[in-house]
Amino acid sequence: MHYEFEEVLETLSMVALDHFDIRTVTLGISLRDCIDGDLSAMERKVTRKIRGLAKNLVRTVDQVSEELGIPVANRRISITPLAFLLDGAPKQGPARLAKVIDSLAEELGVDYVGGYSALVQKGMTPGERRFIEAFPEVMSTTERLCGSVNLASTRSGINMDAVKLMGETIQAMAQATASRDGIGCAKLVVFANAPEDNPFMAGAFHGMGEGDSAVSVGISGPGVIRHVLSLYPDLTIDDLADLIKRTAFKLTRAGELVLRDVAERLGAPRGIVDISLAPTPARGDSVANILEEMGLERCGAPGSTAALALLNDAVKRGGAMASTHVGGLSGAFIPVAEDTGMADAVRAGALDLGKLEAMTAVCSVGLDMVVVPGDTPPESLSGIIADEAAIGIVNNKTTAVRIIPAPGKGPGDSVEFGGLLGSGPVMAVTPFSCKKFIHRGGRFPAPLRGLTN
Amino acid sequence: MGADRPGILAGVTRVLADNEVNIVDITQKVVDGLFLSLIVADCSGSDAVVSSVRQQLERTADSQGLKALVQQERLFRFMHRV
Repeated sequence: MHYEFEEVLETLSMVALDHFDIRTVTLGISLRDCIDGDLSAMERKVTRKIRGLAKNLVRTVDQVSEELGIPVANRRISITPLAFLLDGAPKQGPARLAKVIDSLAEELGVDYVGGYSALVQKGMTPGERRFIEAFPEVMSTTERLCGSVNLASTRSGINMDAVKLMGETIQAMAQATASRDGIGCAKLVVFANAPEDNPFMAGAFHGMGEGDSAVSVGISGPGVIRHVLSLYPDLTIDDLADLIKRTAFKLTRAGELVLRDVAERLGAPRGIVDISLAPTPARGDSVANILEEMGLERCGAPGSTAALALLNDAVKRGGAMASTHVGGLSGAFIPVAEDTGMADAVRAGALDLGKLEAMTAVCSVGLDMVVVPGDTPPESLSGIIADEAAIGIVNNKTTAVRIIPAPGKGPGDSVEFGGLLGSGPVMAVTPFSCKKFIHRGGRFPAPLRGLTN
Repeated sequence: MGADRPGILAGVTRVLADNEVNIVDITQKVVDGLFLSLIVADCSGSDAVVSSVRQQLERTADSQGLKALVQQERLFRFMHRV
C-alpha cells in the first residue's frame, strides 16, 4: 500500500510534537463472583481474580505500544463497584479490601484501579452509607485506588440525601489529606448518569451489566487538534467542524488498533474506545487552547460554551465512525488543574466557576479538577454537586464533579499536585449559602425526559 | 529527519541490511536544508525484533544528529484509509 509523504509525517508529528498518546488501556474485571460473607475469604478471591486476569496487562500493553510505535500513558484496571461486594461487610471492610486492592495494583505495576464506587442514584443501603463514609480513610491510606459515587440519573432523579453526604465526605477527605493540599479529593468523582464502561479515572468502574472482563481504551490528543486548527486559521465554522471530525477519526483509529491488539493478546473481549480529548499539563495539550485557536481571546470569553459544544460534537462524529464500539465519556474534558490553558484562563480572570458550569452542559463530563477555598462549607459543595446533577439529568448526559477544597487556601492561591494532575488555581465560590435547600434531604424527582417508554 | 549531509541513507540502510530487513519503498525530500526520508520496510523475513531494530536506528540517527521514528505500517493504514 502506498502512503503519501504527508500522511506519514502527520502521524509521526502527532506523536513527536503534539503530545498524542493513548491515555489509557483499562482492563475491566468483574468481581461479582468474589462476594463472600467472610471478609478474609473475599480478599483472597478478589486477589486471585485480579491477579489471574491482569497479570500480563502491563507487559502486553508495553509490547503493543512498542511494536506500533505509539505511546500508551497509563495501564489501568476497573472493577465492579466495591460497594456491591461490601454491602454486608463489617465496618472495617471497605478500608481493608481497599488496601488489598491498592497493594495488588502496585504488584501488577498498574497506574490506577477504579471502582471504589457506589451506585446510589435512587437510594442508599446502610452498607453503602458506611462505604461512602469510609472514603476519607480509604483515599488517605491508598495511592492507586480511585472512587466514584453515582447519585443521580435521568431515570431516577437525584438522591439529595447522597448529595448532602458527598459534600460532607469531600470536605472530610480534604481534611484527611490536608498535608498534600487535599489531594485525596482528586481520586473521587461524583456522577450523574455515570457510564458503566468508562476507562478514565477517577470515575472508571466495571459496570453491573458488563461481562467477566473487557479491554477498553481512552484516547487523548487535544494537542493534535489544536495544532491542526492552527494550520488553517481562516476556516468557516462548517469547515472547522469538519476538520476536527476528520482529525478525531484518525486519533480514534489509533485507539481502536491498540484496543484490538491488546484484547487479542490478553484473550479478553473488546470493550469500547472512549474518544475523549483528555488534556495534560503539557503546554499546548489543552482543550482551552483549542477553543482559543478557534478564535477566543481566552477560554471563558463569551462564545466559549458554543465553541466547546462544536468541538465536543465534532469529536463524537469523527470518533463514532472510527470504532465499532464507542463508549465511556467520549467528548472533550475540561478539567482545570490538568489543563494548563484552563488554569491560565482562571488566573487571567477570564474563566470563573459560573462560566465553567455553563460549559459543563456541553462538554463530555462536568466540573473536573476544580480547586476551591478550603473553608467552602460542605453544603456549598453539595449545592455545586446538585447543580451539576440537575444539568445531567435534565439534558440526559453524564455530568460529574471532582472538586478539591484545598485546606488553608483561598482565591488567588495555587495548588501543585504534580504529574498528570498538574497545578490548579483556587477558584472563588459565592459566599451565599444553600444550607437550607441541601438540608431538606429526600429525592429530587426524575425529569419528564426520563419518562421515555 | 534532520540537517542534510552525505551518508545519511547509507547509515540507515546499513542497519536495515544488517538485520535482514527488506526495504520496500524509499521517498526522500530536502526542504530548506532539512532532510526527510520515508522508508517502508518489511521485517517479516528478519529474526530481529522491532524494538531492537528501532533502537539501532535511533542510535545511528542520533550519531548523525538526526531523528529516526519507527511506527508500524498498520497504524498508517488504520489512521489514513477508510
